[in-house]
Amino acid sequence: MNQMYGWVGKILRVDIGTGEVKKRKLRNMCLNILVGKGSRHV
Amino acid sequence: MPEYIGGKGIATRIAWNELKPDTGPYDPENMLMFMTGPFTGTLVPTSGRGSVCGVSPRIYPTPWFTYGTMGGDWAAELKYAGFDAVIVKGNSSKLVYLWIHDGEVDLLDAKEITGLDTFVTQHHLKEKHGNRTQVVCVGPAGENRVLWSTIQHRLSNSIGDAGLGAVMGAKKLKAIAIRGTGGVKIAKPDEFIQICHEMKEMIKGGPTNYPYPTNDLPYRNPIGPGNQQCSHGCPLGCGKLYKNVPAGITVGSGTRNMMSHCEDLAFIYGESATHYPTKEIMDNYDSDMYTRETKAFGDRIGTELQVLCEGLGLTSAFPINFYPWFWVCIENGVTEIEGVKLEPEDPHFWFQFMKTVAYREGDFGEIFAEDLMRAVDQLDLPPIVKKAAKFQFPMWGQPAHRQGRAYESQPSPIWINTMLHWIIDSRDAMASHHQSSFVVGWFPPHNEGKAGTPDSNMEKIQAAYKKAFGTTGGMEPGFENIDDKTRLAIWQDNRAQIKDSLLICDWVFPAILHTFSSRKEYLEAEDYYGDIDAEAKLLAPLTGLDIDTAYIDKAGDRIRNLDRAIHIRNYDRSREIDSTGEWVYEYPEKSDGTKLDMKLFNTILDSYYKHRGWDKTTGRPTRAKLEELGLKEVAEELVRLDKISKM
Repeated sequence: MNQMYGWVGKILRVDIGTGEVKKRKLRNMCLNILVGKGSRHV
Repeated sequence: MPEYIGGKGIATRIAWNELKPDTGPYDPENMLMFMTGPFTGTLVPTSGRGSVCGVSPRIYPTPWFTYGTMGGDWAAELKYAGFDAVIVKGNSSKLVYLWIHDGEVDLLDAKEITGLDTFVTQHHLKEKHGNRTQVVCVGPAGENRVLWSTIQHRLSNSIGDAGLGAVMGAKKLKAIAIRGTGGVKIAKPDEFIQICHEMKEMIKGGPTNYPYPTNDLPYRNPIGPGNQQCSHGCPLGCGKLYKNVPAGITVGSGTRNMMSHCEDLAFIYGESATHYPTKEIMDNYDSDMYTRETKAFGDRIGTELQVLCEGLGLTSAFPINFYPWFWVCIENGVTEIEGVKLEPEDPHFWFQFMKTVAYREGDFGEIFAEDLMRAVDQLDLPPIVKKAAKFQFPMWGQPAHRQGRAYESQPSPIWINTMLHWIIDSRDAMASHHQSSFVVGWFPPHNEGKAGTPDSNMEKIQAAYKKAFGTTGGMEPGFENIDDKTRLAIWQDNRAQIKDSLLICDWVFPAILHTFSSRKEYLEAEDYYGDIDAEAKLLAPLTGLDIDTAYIDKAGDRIRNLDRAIHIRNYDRSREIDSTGEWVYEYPEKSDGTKLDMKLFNTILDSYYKHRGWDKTTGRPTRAKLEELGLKEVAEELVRLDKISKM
């Protein structure tokens, strides 16, 4: 799925202890939570 | 693959993947997750809500993973800034704030806003970053890790009794400021907008705790003079706006604008926010245990007290649940605690009490900065006083809310539903379950005429429930049709998960009942049914995905079961733990006198577990249930830990 409708498609992760900031794609995190491979709705 | 919709659903999945059992609320590994949903930032009515999840220190006796939701504009702004969620880990060595703007992120020193109240903190960051910046923050209470502290936004939107303000304080995160100029893409805009209009029409009468607009309470009306939208995208005006409330005796100077609804009104209206038990109950039971009518301090003093509460960043449990408990103390000879005289009739006592707690001043402040359960554990008090504390905070250290005993009346069968939500959830469940209990407003007047509509038509209400569920058993008073009642409760709970994942407002959705723009329209209506397919009808054209109501219901079931799995894996959640609040329901519901005993409670719980697909003995999901929901790897992990149902 190339187009995310409804969702922006990014999650911001901040480690407030180290200052590290990561911008994670929603599809690539947590075992392809929303639109990853195998989803019957993609 | 399983699907989690958004908001709480995604946070729950992240927690399952990453949250270790020994992670405490103040540990750097604890994640504070600020979540939006697919509806956030769109035209969906009531879609301005956001969710915050994490391990909470407030939960008693075991701090555990929980959630809160709040309205406002920050969640929509976060999506416009390019993110569906912000997950904060680690603990900073100095107070900082996050500045998120159009895909960029800065972690900045919070020296300038240290110690400021929640109103001034927001004002300061709006002046610095632009007036359209949206801010969530903690006040002095959060900075001091007070367990009652809130994460505050706008005038009175907050994550309250979840206790996550203390986690934000522990991380030394004073605020998140957000500004975005992006948008949310819609798959089928024309179809989506049309459905949004239809849903707006369906809820036009206001939140469904009453079938049509009324002036009986200020938060029941559609938007109009004196009323305020609490959230982005909401056509209703559930909040009452108070302007220029003096703040001179609170924290700082000048005035504050304030919005209040529901519990926020207790300092102002007192009695109207609570209900007194019947004379029969007062004569025959421990009347000490029941709520005294909270004193009304009126518009001027009441709003000042509430502004102090909001400004310090404290929950609104203070006036409702502490007031009656202080009276039980006094009537049982406890007139002072740690040298502080208890004077709940005096507004100055409340000013001092809230400030003392927020700043943890002295022994009294330190003790009550923890939740009341932990406070009474430390204090030498008569047993009835300790029991009264548990009556006011019956499960998980959370304030009694819509269970028909210490606070609002909830005549049968409503309290049976709300009890099931309370015992299964990880916090005061009713913060996300108002729809389960708001139907009481449609009932015939009860509690000496203080609740319910004189225009009620129970046949039409029952017909709407029959249309939705094929049976009216779930809504019939008494203890017949237990299976219908537990099935209804499960449906309501699954939909609460959906509501907190999409994210929308539980004062409106799921809409079993329609609302009406006038009393006349209500009286003439033949059909009260709303639309329980609304969520699917909106989500399908928004996303372009093949989504129907069966999909929605299954996703809600999945989120609840995954949450259950976290609580079993990390905290050994069990039937025994679920049953800890049963004793409260052995006291009669305050308006109709209905009550249960352990045998009846067990019958109800057996039915609930059966229809959930959970083991009756342990309360654990079966492997088959988890696999049916696409949670095979969750089942395998619980098998590995020997924490799966043996059924």
